[in-house]
Amino acid sequence: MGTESENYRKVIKLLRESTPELGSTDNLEREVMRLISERNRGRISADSVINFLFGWVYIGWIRRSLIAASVILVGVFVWQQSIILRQLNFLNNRIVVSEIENVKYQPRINEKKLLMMGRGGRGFSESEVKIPEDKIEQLLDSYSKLQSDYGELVKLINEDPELRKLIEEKSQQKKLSKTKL
Amino acid sequence: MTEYQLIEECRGGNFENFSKLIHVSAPFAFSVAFRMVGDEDNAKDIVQETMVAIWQKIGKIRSAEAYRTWVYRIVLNKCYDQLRRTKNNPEFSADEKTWNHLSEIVSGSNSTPLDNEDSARILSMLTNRLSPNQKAVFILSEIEAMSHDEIAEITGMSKTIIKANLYHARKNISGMVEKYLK
Repeated sequence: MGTESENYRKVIKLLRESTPELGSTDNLEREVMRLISERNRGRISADSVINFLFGWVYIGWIRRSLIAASVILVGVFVWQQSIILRQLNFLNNRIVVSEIENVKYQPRINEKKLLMMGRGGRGFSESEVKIPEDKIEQLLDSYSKLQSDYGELVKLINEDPELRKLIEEKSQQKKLSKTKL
Repeated sequence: MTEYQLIEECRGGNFENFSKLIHVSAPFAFSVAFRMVGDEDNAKDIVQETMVAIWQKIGKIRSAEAYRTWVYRIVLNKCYDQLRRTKNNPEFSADEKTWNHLSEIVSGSNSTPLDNEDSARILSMLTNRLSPNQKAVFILSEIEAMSHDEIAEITGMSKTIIKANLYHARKNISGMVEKYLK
């Protein structure tokens, strides 16, 4: 750049030749070493704290024990889960079974009713019944069949008004003929 | 032991001779820091921090040849930080006394080199209006007499930007010198 004046060049030359004096570097060295040792100390103390808190995980037998414990814990968890699943499945099946049992045992309630009716409402104990078991079963089965047939018949009559009317008329006639007699 | 050997030893993790490296590196680091921030104490602080940074990271430099460039880069970054911190300080005003003093020196009646205080005062006066980048390029190129390649390596700027910054800096300072120097 040729546009600079003589004065500019002189000023630059002067500044270039006036190298800043640092003085003794001993103080600087001492200060730098102090800073370095301070940082080192800080780093060492941080390392020792971390080592104190977590260093034990590097001890061989503790490490192996921790691995074994974690494997056992995982095993226990899986076992527990399988038991829970099995229990759930069992309970699920129990619900179905109990419904079937309810249906199956319904006639037994009717059986009691029947026995009560048969004795004119007096009732008697189960030990007094001398009828064989299979016969009672047969009777109860036919009784339940009769009940269901009767229900269906009533339903059928209610659904068909003409049939209902016809039956009502027939029953009226039957009542009248009874009273005439 | 040469500077190269010292650096190689420290790069290899042997810090026994690190104090010698401080004695070698501190003067040139101080020169740039002092000329950039214009204050002896701040410049010494920057040199100290630079030396600690060197101690921490010397193992990471590519080669011993790149050492000086690397040190200059650390120093310059710390100078930028310092300049940013002192940005809000009241502006340095070019007083008549300093210009008269400079005029006396330049006129040849007093040809002895400047002491730190005068040097800092005059440099601050001349570079006060420059941006940090312009100041850095001006000091490295004109005062520290570095080549554009070296400056590019230290600052990370392209040569075109260096030339542009240097042009603005020279123009500014030259204008001031013409205006105020008697």
